[in-house]
Order: sequence, then structure tokens, then C-alpha cells
Amino acid sequence: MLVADNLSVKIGTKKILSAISLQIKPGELLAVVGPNGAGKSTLLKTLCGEIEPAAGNIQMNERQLEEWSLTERAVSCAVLPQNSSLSFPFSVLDVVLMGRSPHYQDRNVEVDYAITCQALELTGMLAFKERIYPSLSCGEQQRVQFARILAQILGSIDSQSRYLLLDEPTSALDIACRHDCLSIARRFAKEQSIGVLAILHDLNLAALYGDRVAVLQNGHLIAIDTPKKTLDENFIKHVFNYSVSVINHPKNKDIPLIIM
Amino acid sequence: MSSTATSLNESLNFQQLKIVKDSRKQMTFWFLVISLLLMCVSSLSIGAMPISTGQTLAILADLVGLQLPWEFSFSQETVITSIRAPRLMMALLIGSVLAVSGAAMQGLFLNPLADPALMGISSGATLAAVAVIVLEATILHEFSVWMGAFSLPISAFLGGFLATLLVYHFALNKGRSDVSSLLLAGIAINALTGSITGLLIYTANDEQLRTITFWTMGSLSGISWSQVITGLPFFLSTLYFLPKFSRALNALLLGEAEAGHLGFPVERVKLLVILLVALGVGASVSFAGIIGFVGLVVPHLLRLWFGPDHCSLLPCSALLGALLLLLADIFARTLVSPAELPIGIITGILGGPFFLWLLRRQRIAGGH
Repeated sequence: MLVADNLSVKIGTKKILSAISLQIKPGELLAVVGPNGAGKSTLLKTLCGEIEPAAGNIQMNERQLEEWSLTERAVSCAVLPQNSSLSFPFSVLDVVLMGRSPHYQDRNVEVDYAITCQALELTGMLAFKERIYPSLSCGEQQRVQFARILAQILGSIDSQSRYLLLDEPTSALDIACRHDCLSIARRFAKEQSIGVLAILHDLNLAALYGDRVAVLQNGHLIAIDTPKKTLDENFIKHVFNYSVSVINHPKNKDIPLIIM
Repeated sequence: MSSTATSLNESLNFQQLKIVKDSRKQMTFWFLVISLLLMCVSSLSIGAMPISTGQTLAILADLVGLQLPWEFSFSQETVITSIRAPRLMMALLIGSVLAVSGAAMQGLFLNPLADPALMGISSGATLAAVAVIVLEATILHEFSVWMGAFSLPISAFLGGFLATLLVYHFALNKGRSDVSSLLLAGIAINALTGSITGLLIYTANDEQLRTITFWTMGSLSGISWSQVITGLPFFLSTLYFLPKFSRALNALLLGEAEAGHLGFPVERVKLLVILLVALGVGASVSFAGIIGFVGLVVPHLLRLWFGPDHCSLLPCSALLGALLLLLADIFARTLVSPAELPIGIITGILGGPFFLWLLRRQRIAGGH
């Protein structure tokens, strides 16, 4: 379990996050939503150790985050960046293979290649393996990055719980790829018991794929519960300052459908 | 079931692909090694005193106690062992250090046009060298008497190293240095040292101006074994340790945060790479002045040939850099023989148009 306890983050004198406590359980997809500037990305960066919290602490698998070595942490927790500007002409295969860097001590090239190709297959990028990364479209690049972080945490030898932190994984994707990306993440969460945190802008995606939805506003965590309970009309109006209608999804009445 | 089968199949294809790619890299590596050996022998034979290839080989063999059927004179042996050989060694070391450092800096700055000059190494070294040349008789008199012939190289080395540390220091913000502030700090320090250098040059007399001009054009003339041995620890530490950061440099191309998420200690990697580059390039500037374009052209050319992977880019850059500088040195020694051209001019004349051609070719190919 990835546990944040009473987390506060300051950048300069500005408080970005205030007293946030949440848990990411193995096997669940936690969607994080909130208006721009609510502190979603900061929360993600703090959870993976990129930003140091001013107060509070983070535990991964019952161990303080600071106690993990960088490599150990990388084997258990992978981060999908919001955008990645790789302008050097690596092939898609090379980029995904970089995800295997923290496993370098094992030096098992065959396993690395097998896992790399599995990750490429899962994201539907296998046919692109020899393409040059900078020549791909935005959406394709994002899928390659997704394959890279899958390769990073797949096939870890010890059976520790692992985590994926996704910062707007769907922003550059078309409608089919969005759903592919999140259903892979969710399937992964279930099958391999991986904890996934995904920052999402589309509330309907959060409702469809999130087991739970966390709502951030001005650096405060103001709700964390099932989509049904968090995404209701009044609450959305209160948080986003925008009126919407919420009905039940025609295919599953436990999922809210937000109509703008 | 079928998906496992395809993925197994695909992974086999990957292995073949990997082997093809690796064989290209390996062939390049061995091709460069062999060319370098041949170039070394011809560099030793070419020069004002005629020495045939056979005689050169015989002299080399004689050093390790072997007899070859070519006759040579004592003076030929002296020319090779005490004039051409140290110069050859210095060209090899400096060429490889400049190219490896260029490749590493380009990786670190995520910019294929970066070179060690960005970090203030060249401008800092130039400032210190010009200061020594201009103020030798006045303010720095005691220093130059004390240091003797080493006053110029040592001050150039310190100048380059200090400028780099300053750049790094100013780019640091709460223990982290992002690449863009490094770049900006580098530009600022370069401008500052450039102006002070200009001020010193303004006060220089004609003879000093001449010395300064030659120093900034770079030269390998008059290199002795003692200089080679003095520089050896610096050059070798750069050549030995920089390639150890290959995988980290690869990951850094994804971005600093991403490299951190992949488990690399990003700040430490950056600091060490910058220090190693400053050590090696600082030493090379102090012995041979400013030699441009090697650090820029060599890695660029190899990247076009087999891709940006630092694991093969760094060693091959070292070899190709050494090869190119050796070739440039042969031109420098022979084109206006018995006089000599500054080697920096040769690398500029060869490198400039070649780089433009490369740029144009890439545009046409539409690649990156």
C-alpha cells in the first residue's frame, strides 16, 4: 500500500498541498480530479519522491519512502510524465528498453527484451518498434511512454506491491486510445495487483475507470470515495464552479454519467 | 495463448534486431580501432624528416627489443621517440577527450549542439591564459617566475575549471540545477569572462597580441613527454569514468524527472559529468589551446550512423575524435612545411563545411 499521511507541500512560501491523507491500495485505480492549479501534479510528484513534503510522511509497502534506494523505488513505482520531450532519435524499442534500467543489476537481456515486447504489445505499439521516437505523433509518443513505464514495473522478481502514477495519461490521445490506455491500467491493477493513481481531466473517464475518485481543490483533499458518491451534480458545481447534469450510465447504473 | 506465442516470436525478432544493430556498432568500433592504428603509424612517418613506414615500424619494434629488416639512423629514432611520439600521444588524448566530452555535454543538455564551451571552460581558460600573457611582466611576475614554463597551462586549466564551477554554482537552486539555468549561467559567465579578456587584450602590446592569437588558435607543436605525463591523469580519468555514465545519460535524454523515476541519482550524475568534462577539457585547453569542432562534429556524425545510445556513442566518439585530431595534426604539420599551421584552424576549416553539409543532408532527409 502507498500511504500518504497528513502531507503538506510548500513551494517557496506558497502552500500547494495541505494535510492530505490518502491510500493507494494494490489492485485499485484511484482517479484524481480537480480544477487546474488544485495541486494534482504536485501530489503525484510528492508521492513518487520528486518533491519533498514540508510536513507529513509517505510510506510505500510499510516502509518510509526516504528509506528506499532510488533503484528499489524505481522497480516498485513507475511514473508517467505529463509530457516527455525526447528529441534524440532513439527507436521506440530503445525508449521502452530504458524502462528496464532499474533492473540492470539482473543483467538478463532476454527477460528485458521479452518484457519490453510484452509492454509494447499491451499498448498496441509493437508494429512501431523500429520507428524513430521523435517522428511519432503525440498520441503515439504517449503510448510509447506508457509502454516504457509498464516495462519498468513488469516482471519484478520479488512479489512486492507495485504502483503506477499517471499524470494525465490520456491528454494527447484520441477517444479509442484513451479508453485503451485506462483499461490497460485498470486490467493491470486487477490482474497483477498494482496500485494505480491517475490524474484525469475528463470526469467521465474518472467515473468509468476509477475504483475511487479523489477530488482536490486548492490543495485540500475534499472527497475520496466511489465515483457514484463523489461525482454528483451539486458537488461538481461546488468544486469546478460549473453546472452539469449527472445521470446513471445507460450500461451500468453504478457509474455516473456527467453531461456538460 | 496466441498472444504469448506472438510475443515470444516477436522477442526472437527483437534479438535479431539487437544483433544487427550491435554488429553495426561493433564493426564501427573495430573499424575505428584499426584506422587509428594505421593513422598512428603514418603520423609518425610523415614530417619534415623523411622516414619510411618500414623504418617507423622498425623503430617501434626496436623499442620493445624486436628486430625488423629495415635500417634506420639514430637521428630518425630520436625524431620519432622524442618529437613525433609525444605529439602523437597528445593528439590522441586530446582528440578523444574533446569528442567524449562533447558527446556527454550534448546528452546532459539535451541539445545536439552543446559542447564544453557552454559551461565556460574555454572562455575561463582563455581569460586565465590571456591574463598570464599580458600581466606576466607586472602583476603576475612572481607567479610566472615560480611556475616557469607551466604558468600558462596551469593557469588555463584553473581558469577553465573555476569558470565551470561558477556556472554550476549559479545554476544551483536548493541543491538542484535544471539544465536551462545551467545554460543561462553558462552564457552569462562566458560573456563576463569574454569582456574581461577583451579588456586585457586592449591593454596588450603587439608581441603579446601575437602570442594570444596563436594560443586561441590551438597548437600541438613542441609537446614533450613531460607534458604528456602531466596531463595523463586528467585525460585518463575523463576517458575512463565518463563512459560509466552512459545509461544515466540515456535516461537523462528522457528528461531529468524521468531519469530520477528510473532510479538514477540525477544531481550526482550531472555534477560528476560536468567535473569530468572540466578536468579533461581543461587539461586539453591548457596544453593545446582552443581546438574547436571536434567535440561537436564527432558525436553528431556517430549519432547519425548508429543512433544516440551513449553506451556505444562514448567509446566510438573517443576513437573517432582521436582519429580526426591526428589527421588534422598531419595537415597542420605538412601543409605549409617547414612552417606549421595552428591545429584549431585545420579543425575549423575541415569541421565547419562538413557540419554545414551534414545539416543540409539532414534537412533533405527530413530526419532529426
